Amino acid sequence: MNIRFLRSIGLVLLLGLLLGATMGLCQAKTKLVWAEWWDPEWGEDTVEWIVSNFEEEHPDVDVERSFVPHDQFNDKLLTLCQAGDCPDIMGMEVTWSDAFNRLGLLADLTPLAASASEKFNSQYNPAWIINYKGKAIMAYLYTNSYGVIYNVKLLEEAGLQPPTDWEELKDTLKALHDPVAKKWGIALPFAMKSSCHFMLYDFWTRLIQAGGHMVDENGLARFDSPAGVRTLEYWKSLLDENLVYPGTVKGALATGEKEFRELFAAEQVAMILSGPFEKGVALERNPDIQLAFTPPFEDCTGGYLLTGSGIAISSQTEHPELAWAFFEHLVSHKVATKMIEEKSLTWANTAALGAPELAEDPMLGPYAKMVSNPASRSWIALPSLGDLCGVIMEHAQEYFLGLVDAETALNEAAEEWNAVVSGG
Amino acid sequence: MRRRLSDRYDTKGFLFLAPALILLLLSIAFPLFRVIQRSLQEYSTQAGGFKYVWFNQYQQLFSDPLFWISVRNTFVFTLGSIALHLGLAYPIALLLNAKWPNVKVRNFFRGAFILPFLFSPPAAALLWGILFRPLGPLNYGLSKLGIGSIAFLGDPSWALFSVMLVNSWVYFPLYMILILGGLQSIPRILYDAARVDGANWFQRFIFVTLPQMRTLVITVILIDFATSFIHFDLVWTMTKGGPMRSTYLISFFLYEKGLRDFRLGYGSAVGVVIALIMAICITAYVLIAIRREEVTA
Repeated sequence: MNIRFLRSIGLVLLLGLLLGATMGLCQAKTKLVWAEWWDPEWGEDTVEWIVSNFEEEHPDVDVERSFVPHDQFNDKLLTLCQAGDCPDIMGMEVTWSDAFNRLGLLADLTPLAASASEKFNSQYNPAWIINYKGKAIMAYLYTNSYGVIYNVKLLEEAGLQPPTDWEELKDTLKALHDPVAKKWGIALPFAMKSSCHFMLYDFWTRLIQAGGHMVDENGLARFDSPAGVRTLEYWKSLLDENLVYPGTVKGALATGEKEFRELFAAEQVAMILSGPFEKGVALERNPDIQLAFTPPFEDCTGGYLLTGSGIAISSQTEHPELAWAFFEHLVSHKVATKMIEEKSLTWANTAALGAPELAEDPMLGPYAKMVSNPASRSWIALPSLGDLCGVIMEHAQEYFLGLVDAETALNEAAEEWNAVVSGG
Repeated sequence: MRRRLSDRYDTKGFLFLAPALILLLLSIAFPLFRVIQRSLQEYSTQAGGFKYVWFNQYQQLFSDPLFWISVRNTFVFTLGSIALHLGLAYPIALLLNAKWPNVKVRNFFRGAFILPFLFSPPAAALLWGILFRPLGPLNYGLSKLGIGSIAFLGDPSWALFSVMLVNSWVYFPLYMILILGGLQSIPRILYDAARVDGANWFQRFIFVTLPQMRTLVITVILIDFATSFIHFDLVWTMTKGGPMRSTYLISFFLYEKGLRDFRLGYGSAVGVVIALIMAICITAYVLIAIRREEVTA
């Protein structure tokens, strides 16, 4: 009786195991892990929509999203990857890419791009793939550029037209400056805690416009030039004329990104120098705010700095082709159109960016002109970017405080910059 | 005649100590050994792991001007913080230990003075960041007094003092509680005896309170030194080392090299040097304190 009972139990268990294994085999899908930080920016629904669209097109693939907040992303992913648990596809900033690449964690995208689909090739600018030390290490999902953004209402109330070049900007700031009411036209984050903001948005952008180059092809400094001096002199002239919030040089050196965003959203300053993403940030704080980019400026050149955020494929992935297919999906016309229309992001898809309705948009219209200017330049992956930002900021601060002249500040910065780049 | 170990000690005792000793070895000695080992190595992609570079990291570290700036700032920050912590904590503890006409009011203040310690460092940094703004409440008050505006966090000559001030505001309650506890444990009989000898309140403080509190104050200074020397979050949130590196601390250097740039070998070398500096300073201080105690005794 007992033996028969045990046999029956054994048989049931065996059948269960067989059934489970068969079902498992039937349902076995290739798993792709996508580590991203975009949930708060795009909304979870949008991220889920992107994934489900891809899974519909690839029913044999299961994309597992792994959300990590942006400020923890770099450290966590580096740790995960070094532990051999690297996600197949990772969100990537140019600023982080050197650290990953140095550890051999990034796949070379060159062979994958070479065998990309025709559709992809017709809609993706090859300049959006970042090459570093002879290897394609990441590709942009959306591009950014930085220009002067203004509060439409505040300029209208002051009876001012948006400036069209750097000198007009100065005139507009003078018109907006009211020392009695403690009002300034612009806030600029010149504090050390915003050193990368200063280097990219204010220094590099103005340098390109002044006809200068930041670095050579090896990442070594070229900003110690007459154009560099002109760049620093321009920003110092605004500080010296008390045109920048809060009206003193030392006060401006304490202003960080957080303060400048607060001031702008609270309509205490009318202008900032930043990217198109600033619209979403300001709207979150002040739903009534109306923003627009000024018409693109032109000094010695009309170029702007091109940056962006993108993805990288792990060198540890077992499915590089599938990971690439997912990337192609991310920059497809369908996804790009949604991201441009709904999120005001300048998605890396030439067909979507060229849409005629974009020209009407007060933010994206001028932006499309800025990024399409032939003098605009992409930045390159640089080692120890935090150190490099600190170097530029520290010496610029010395100059702003009148401790050294612009040329000395830039020469010293260039020397330290080259030491960091060579050491990296 | 040689005695065996078992004759001298009850060896069974070691068995009972073993779990704690093993845990201590695993949690302290092993990580310490690994950090020292890593400081002599560098990650090599070609080698696919760490390779020994011996003292190269240290050589590089000592020739880095930023490291020396961070060491100087850290010493100023640490010593300034200790002075401010004690300068605030000691008098307030004395005040809270004194006889008050109303005990409830005294207890209320005992609670109120602890409040700053309940702020997390980033929250305190945020709060003081607002207070320190060029057009913020503090500067408004100063301009009303006719002093004029101070760029607390934008002026290199003010920034380090400003962050020390915030650090003192956040952490002085901890030291205040410790000192208050110490004051309450001084036997009343000593004060009574001093009173009988005709000592006034100042003499009682100098000849009774201070000597009785010496050991505790030494401990407080040691704790404060150890925590302030490796301080990170509050100052990082407020200034990130600026302006012009005037608030750049050694912990920032460690974080940037070791964690942000992921140069684990170099970061470990910084960690070892920090540990050595702290060990030397603490040992020297304890030795001096002990010698002084022996002399006065």
